[in-house]
Amino acid sequence: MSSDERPVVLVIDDEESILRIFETWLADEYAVRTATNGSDGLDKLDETVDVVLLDRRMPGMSGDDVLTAIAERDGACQVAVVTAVDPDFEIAEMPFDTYVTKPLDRPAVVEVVERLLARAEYDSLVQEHYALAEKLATLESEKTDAELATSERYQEAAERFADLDARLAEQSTSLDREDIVRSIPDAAAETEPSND
Amino acid sequence: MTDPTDAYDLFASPPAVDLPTGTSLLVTAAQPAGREFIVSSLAHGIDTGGDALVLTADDPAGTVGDELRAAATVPADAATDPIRIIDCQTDGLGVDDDSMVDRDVNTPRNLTDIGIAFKDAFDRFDRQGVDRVRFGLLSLSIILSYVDQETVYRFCQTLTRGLANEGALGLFALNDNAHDEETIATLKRAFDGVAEVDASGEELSVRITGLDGVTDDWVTVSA
Repeated sequence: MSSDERPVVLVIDDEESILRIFETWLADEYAVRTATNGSDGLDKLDETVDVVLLDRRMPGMSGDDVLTAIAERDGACQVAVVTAVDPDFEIAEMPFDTYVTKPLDRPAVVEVVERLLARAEYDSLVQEHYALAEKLATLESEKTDAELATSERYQEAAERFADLDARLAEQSTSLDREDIVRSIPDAAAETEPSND
Repeated sequence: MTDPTDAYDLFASPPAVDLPTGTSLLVTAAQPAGREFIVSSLAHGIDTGGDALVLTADDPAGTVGDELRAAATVPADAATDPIRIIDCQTDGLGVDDDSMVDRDVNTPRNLTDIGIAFKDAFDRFDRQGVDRVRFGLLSLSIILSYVDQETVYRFCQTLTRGLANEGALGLFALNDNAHDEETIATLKRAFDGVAEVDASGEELSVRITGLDGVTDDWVTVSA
């Protein structure tokens, strides 16, 4: 665990000057890591990274190769591609979450990072929501109503669920339609249902 | 909170069952009562000037569209415009006129494409100035046969949050004969409440649970 509680942003770009700009803009709010090429970026990508800002055009390992490598990992990080032109394809079908166009400006970059963090927060709340829903359903199937009423474990889980449900409702009001599409789990990528 | 005058009256027959805007219900029923119930509610929405968005994984868009038009009391021509269908069953669309079909998703596994179709439909409602939308999903049972329970849960949770943001009404059919109690008890937590539909009498009846301020008595739904 890091003692630094700030969200971690990893910036991958072959131009040092661009990396310095991102650092200047983001270092107040976030813990910023930088990498000047794709393979170095992947080395610096661990489970603590919340957001990746990725230059699509780099010598050596291309941005698309990096995207594929990130998608193959289990991590929950959100990825924004930094590009000189508006992508002319359907964003939701690509293995990244959003994009930032050059020329870069600070408010736009900060907004993108914040939106991606909001989505990540939403996704993790939904996962927790499911885990608790499943636990409650299991307890409900094992115990009578009278037993549930006196079960501390059940009551505690029910309270946590109610609290989580309220947080999720609150968090989701900040999502726009694009965020909603991105938060829909990609079943096609999960060939094996991962139920333990 | 929601202005009660904006509420969605669930179906045509009295007594009025008003649901706050943005509500999503898991509709549990034996087949085909769940779809009958949802079709009648969506038709009531059309009759009262709203639009209907259907995601079908069970029957072709054509069949669903015909049922909806037949259930609405406005003339079939007038009922066609407000109907949008996202077809994700694996057979043909079964329509000559595909103007109602927003997107043909090739399989219920493809939740990402379903999400895109959902977004596109609401983008379009915005452009058309439509703000009363009832969404029906037919059915979660079919989607559950393609996708694991956790993924379906997250899918439902995200659609219900989206519908809440849109101020729409969501009705998600689940065939309660096809799943164990634990699955139903888990899934219902992704929704604001549950509508149990009973088809054992001459007419359908429904009981809503889990919503503050909405009766949890059995209510008869007349066609």
